[in-house]
Amino acid sequence: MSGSPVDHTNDEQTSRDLTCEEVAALLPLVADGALDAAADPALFTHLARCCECQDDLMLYDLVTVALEATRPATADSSVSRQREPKREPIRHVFLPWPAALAASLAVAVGLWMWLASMQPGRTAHTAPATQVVQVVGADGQPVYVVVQGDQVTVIDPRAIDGKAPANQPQVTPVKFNTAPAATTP
Amino acid sequence: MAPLATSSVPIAFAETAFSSGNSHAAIDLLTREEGALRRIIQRYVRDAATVDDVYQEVSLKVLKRIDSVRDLAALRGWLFQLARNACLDYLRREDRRQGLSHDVLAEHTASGDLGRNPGEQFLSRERVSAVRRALDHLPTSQREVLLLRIDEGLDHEAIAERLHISRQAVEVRLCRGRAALKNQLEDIMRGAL
Repeated sequence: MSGSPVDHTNDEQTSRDLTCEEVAALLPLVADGALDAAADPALFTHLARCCECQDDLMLYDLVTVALEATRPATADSSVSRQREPKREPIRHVFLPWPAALAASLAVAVGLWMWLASMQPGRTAHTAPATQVVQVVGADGQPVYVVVQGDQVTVIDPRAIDGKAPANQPQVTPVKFNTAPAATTP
Repeated sequence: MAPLATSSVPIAFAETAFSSGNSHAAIDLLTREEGALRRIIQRYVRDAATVDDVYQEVSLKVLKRIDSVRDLAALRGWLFQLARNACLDYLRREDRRQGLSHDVLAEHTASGDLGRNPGEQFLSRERVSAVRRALDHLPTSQREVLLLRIDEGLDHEAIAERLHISRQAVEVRLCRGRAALKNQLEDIMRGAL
């Protein structure tokens, strides 16, 4: 290969003319992908017009295709692993110890209260408070309202004294659904 | 060997193509260089229909990328690289498609037809296996560099780090190893022809 098969007719002038011997030394790197037309324009200009160098490069290329075709499966997976984008590692978030302690205590207290409420004979409101309020009745006379839990009893003092009308009951129990927090002054 | 009888691209035309970037200039360029491009493709794939397909692929790339070429002197080299890359892509696709199956090998062996062009011959299982065997017989220093490059896909710098040698040493070993395998393949193909 002395450069004789190179077609110089109507050729563009390149910065330098390579001989086939020089090109032959570079062909393995071309086949390897280390050199391309942008990296070495003179080399590829020579290749574009030299039949012998094209034949040589074609053989190098076929070797590459053969080696790639017989790449072991494990190597295939290692290559694919290299080409895969790296995955972000899973980040574990740790609370600062005071916050963790507070959260643990809150859970423990909540659990204790729930267990306590589930014990037989015990309820959240074991002993409802009793309130007695004096209010003015419809006839302008004072009456007493006794509130115990959800039960309301109206007591007319005149009934106790025997002055109440005969057709009126002495007590008037009333049930409320809501807690007797609000009382009439 | 006869030189390539390619027609050169007139400077004025090429300058117009690069400055205007219009597709008409690219098509004109392809028309002038079609013969040279087809001859390059035929080195890798000689089947007429496949040559047409690959040429079509190259044409599309020329139309898409002609604006990126600024160095007028490198025009032919750029076209050569496009054609060669398209051929290699085709061979790799074809290799995956056929999977180098025993059926293909049996068909070729039974008919005595190992293909008309080097690429087709090469895609037989025997040729591929022969190259891999030749790799096994290379000196260790060359073989390990080639295995890291081909099988593991490492670049030259990474191979140098892995083997604790210089990048220049990696490239020297790669060149020698590839040259030995190329000579081996040349002998195999010469014997088969």
